[in-house]
Amino acid sequence: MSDNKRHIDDLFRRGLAGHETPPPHDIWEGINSHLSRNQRSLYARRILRVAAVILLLLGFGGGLLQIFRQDSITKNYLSPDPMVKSPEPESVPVPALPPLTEIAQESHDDATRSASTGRLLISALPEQGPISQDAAPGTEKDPVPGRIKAPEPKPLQLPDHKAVLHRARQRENYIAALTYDDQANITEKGKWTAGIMFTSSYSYRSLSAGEEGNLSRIHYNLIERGLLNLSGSFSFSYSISGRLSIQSGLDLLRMGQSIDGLQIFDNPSVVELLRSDDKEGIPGNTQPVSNSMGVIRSSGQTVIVTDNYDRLFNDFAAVSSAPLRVPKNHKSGSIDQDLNYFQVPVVLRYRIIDRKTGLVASGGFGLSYLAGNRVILRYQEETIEIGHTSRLRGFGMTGIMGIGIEHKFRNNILFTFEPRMIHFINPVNPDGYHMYRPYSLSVYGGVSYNF
Amino acid sequence: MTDNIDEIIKGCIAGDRRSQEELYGVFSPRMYAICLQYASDSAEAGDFLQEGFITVFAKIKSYRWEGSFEGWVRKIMINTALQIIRKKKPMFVINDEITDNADYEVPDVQLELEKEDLLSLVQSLPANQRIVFNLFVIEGYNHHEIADMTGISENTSKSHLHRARITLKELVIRYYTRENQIMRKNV
Repeated sequence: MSDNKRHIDDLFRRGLAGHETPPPHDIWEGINSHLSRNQRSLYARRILRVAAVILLLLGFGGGLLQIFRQDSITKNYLSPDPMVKSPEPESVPVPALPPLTEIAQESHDDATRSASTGRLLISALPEQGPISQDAAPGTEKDPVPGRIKAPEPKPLQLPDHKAVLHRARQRENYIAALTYDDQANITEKGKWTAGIMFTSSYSYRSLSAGEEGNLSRIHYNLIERGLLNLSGSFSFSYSISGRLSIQSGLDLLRMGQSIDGLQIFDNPSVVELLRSDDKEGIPGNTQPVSNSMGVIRSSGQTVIVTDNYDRLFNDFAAVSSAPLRVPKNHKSGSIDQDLNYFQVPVVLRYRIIDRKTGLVASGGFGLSYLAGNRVILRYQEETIEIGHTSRLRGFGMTGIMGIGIEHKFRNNILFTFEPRMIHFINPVNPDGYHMYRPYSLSVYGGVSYNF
Repeated sequence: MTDNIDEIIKGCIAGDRRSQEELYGVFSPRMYAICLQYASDSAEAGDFLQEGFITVFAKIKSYRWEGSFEGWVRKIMINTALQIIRKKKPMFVINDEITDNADYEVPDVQLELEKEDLLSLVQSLPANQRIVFNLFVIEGYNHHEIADMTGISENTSKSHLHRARITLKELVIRYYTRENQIMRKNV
């Protein structure tokens, strides 16, 4: 035996170098059975993936169909050459087309509640010159008696071709950059993730009714517009496989619309003005405001409007037909119909690019509960909550789809940036003249933690 | 051999079961030996090996054909072993004062100590010391890297290594003394 000494590290490093030991046979059997189980579940995962893709395509296609359908109807009506662009006849008989009047008739009972003095009168019409009582709102009289012709079309703003090409190239470059990211396989099966999101969203609605409702729909499209909102959500998700996960949580959805082109009068003589020129002899014919969503109801007996006269009014009223002359003392304003929903979403998320910076497609549905229903009057610099929209459904189903970017930071933190579209499947106003389905185009941004 | 391994790897990427079995046949003896160094017994080493190969087959699509494939598999085995050990026994923090002139020299008894003997000496170490000793001495990681891999501080890593060396030194000397006594009796 040698008397030499050596470092303990050296003894073990050299002694264990190149060491091989045959493993027990049952280890391969364990691996083999695990791989067989995995292969079976692989088929199930593939079916889930296909289902997720179909769901996404259906949601995306449905959303586009709703938007384009509504858009094409509006464009057809506004076309300067209805013989070519519109399937509708070039003129429309007058008696079939007074939508506001019809709605006003339905709400006749409410009119009787209107006080005759000290009332704030609002006309839900775009500013225009004098219009005949015979013509429907937003149209002008045709030389042929009993017929009206379409109004002058608004110039359509087409996107700049170069800008579109530039954006497409930017998008291609970005996708290419993601593809060449060398960080692969960041997601792991069976992991839970929880996170919070902040949302900036544009919400509006799609309307549907029979053919006879087309004109009033166009009228509403002219005076109503979407709303921009901020909201948030809490989410958690479970990774079914490396790329596929299921997500749920609680979202605050802020939907609604704004009624534009309102004239708010603060002079009592305007009532007299309308009365004196009303050939039908309907003095002071005022109605609660009706629009595409429904009827707006005042929340209380007394609402104080801070204007020059510190006026009080007991009801919130609109003129049932167009004012004959727009008085000089009117003020511009708008009404926001703000619907707040709590939504429990069930969303399948699939990582199309499974890298450190990945691309995620998501699709699913949500169950929404109407938690807030406010109507806000914006009048000069004042913002007043004046009531609510009546007869709205308390619960609704939504379709959800989105595509976004996820960036993994450290081991467990994920940053998400995801544009999403949420569209109500069922109308929120079951008794309405138009079936009103809100939708939102949102940008979700937030952070989540991978457990 | 290399071409053959490349074919086997391609078969594994395609999910071919025969290729997977071949790959297991080629690498399992070397990997099992590594697992034995990190495990306290052969049953635990078997768990490491099984989980490690399942991970290898799951992640083989992400192998980028750079460097040694065996090194890639070896790293997965070690990471798998560390994950399983950390789930069972979290690494605890110690902070020994280590003198610069600590004596880690032992009589050169390599000829008398078989690989299996060395392995059983390593397995007799507490889990924390065993992990740090293997990572530092056998794999060649430094304390900063070990701290990153195990979630302990560099000082704790140094302390575990110091304790492992002292323990192994005592065990080797005890083994050497006993062997000497047996030899004298036989003479």
